[in-house]
Amino acid sequence: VNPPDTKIQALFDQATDLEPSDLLRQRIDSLTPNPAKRNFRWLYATGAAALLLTASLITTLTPRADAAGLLQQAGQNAANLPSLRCNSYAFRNGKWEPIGEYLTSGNCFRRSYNGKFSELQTRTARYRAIGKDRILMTKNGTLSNNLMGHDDIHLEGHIEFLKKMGWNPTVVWGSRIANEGRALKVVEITDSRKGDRETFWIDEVTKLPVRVVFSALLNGAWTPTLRSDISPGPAVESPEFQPNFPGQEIIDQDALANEWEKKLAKTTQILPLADNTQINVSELTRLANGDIILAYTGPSVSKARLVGQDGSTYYRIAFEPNDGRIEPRNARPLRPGGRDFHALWFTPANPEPTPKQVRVELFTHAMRKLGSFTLAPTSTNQPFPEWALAIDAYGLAHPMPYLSLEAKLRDVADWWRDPQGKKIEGSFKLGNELGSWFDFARNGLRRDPEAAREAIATLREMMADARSRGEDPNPQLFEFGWIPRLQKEADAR
Amino acid sequence: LKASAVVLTDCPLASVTTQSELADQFLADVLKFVCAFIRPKADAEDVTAETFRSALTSLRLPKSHQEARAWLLKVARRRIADHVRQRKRRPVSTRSDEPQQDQRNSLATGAAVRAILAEMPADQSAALVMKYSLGMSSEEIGQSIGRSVAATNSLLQRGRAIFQDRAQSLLEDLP
Repeated sequence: VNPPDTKIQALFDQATDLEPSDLLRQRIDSLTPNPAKRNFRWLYATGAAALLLTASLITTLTPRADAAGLLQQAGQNAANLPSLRCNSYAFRNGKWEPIGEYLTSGNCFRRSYNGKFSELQTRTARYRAIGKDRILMTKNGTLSNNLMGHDDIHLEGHIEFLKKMGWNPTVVWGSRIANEGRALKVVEITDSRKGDRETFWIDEVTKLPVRVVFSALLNGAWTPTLRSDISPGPAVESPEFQPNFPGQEIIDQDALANEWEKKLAKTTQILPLADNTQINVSELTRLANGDIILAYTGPSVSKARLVGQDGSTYYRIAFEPNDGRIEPRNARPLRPGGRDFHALWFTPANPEPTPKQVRVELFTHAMRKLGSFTLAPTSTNQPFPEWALAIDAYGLAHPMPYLSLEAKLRDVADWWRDPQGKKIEGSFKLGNELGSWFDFARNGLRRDPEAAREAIATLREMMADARSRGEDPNPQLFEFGWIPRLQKEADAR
Repeated sequence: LKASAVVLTDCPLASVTTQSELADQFLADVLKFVCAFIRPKADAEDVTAETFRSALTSLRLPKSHQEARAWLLKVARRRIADHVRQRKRRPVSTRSDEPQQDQRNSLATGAAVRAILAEMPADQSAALVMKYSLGMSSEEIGQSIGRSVAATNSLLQRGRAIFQDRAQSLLEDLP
């Protein structure tokens, strides 16, 4: 005899007996955008749609219009990505103590130390911070709420890398304040050699108050734009928090986002491209003061390459968007480091499936080196996507105070080509290591510029040696040949 | 043109439901749905928050109460799948919120029900939770899981049979 539905329902009631906590309600409230901004976004989208409509009536309706539409959307998101600084504090010993800081240009991806991509999308980060979600801060500027997925690999990679660089990291997992909170895990890396210390917050699920302050670079000054309490509880309410920006007040985040949207809407130019279009970089860079964004529509799996004047392939892109998630799989930069050319898998936080939206960002300075390039399909068995190129003529201000030094570091990228300018095959893994090295050097330059420069010179020399011996730069060589030598150099210093 | 049409029909002024109303009306439902598959509570709330984050940042808003709930639960199902996938890669953290003695029986029953649901086909378990925990109609459930009313009724019937079979002892214990 079938039991009545009431019995089954009683069982389900016991399985789903939760009521939303106050904290959850606060989180949801903080996610609700203000109506003015939503209306603005709608007007913006409608305006863009009207433009597209007009353009499609004037010209032949081609799929490129879709690419332009995607680009509008990408641009709209990029507009919310100002240069960013993030300072975090913990309430310990009766006061707010700074626990970390990172700087980012806000709309770029960084490579992690094991060659995987790390997510660094300001908009996402902002929402996550607002949502009082978990937070992960690492030295290379990763902020994510994916705690123990790939991000812990970043951390492990970071620790390993510090070891390679001659540090003597002491790693303490969660020992310091784990007892005060439910599951707070803090990793401290102390360099016994230098006395430096890096603190990593792995999990904010804690009763210990943590507070994050985001600042944007506006008109040359760091302006606090958002303050977010990571942990709830009465202790967060007092004492009054004082960010380290005297005389400045937290400004309205929505207003800031709108400001960026307006700027980008005014300055972004969109150039539809055909297959094998020759792109004159000098002309582009003359127009562009900031990012150049490549967008496409096409099949879910698409491949393309950028071909330099000499016929070399500089960058090969394979898109394999995965169910609306940001999950790069086949990005294989053929130049080292992945810092000059890098791909950004862009799928908006939209529950509707949008697997074909991909954005590729090319840094202007890297394109200058190429002079010109061609977009070309790598295989004929895939329909080639429609491309569009956008130029953000406004430019996103770079927050790095050591920009000039970083620019010098980019010369390292030239190592990846032999003196004749040919690319070196089969070496992208080392390129990833170099990317790690860039991160180290960039951070190292802040604390010890001279040492970092020396280390760079050493690495350059080692690579030259390897080539002169006819060896291909590869991870094994890097692992077993260069690093010990670099460490020796560091010890000697 | 298609994209333009979509945007034009999504004018928020034309929407019956606003974003804050969405959150007010359906937070409890979404949490109930999520907690049928995700525990502990903190994780369930995380997934719920993530669901609303995804939904509220969308330009599109559903235009009716029924459509809104079905849509939110559709989003929630994806977030649950994400969470389960990610959890497999994470070490299990220790939690200090041990239940009280008098709660244990109820918790054990709830856990047993969730375990049964976890082993059932995803569509079936989702449909059962929508029906028995949230009281949704077959039409509404069908909207959320992308099936016709007839197919949804069939799914519910099969799911109910499986659940009943596996939860026999639990059902017998009930008064």
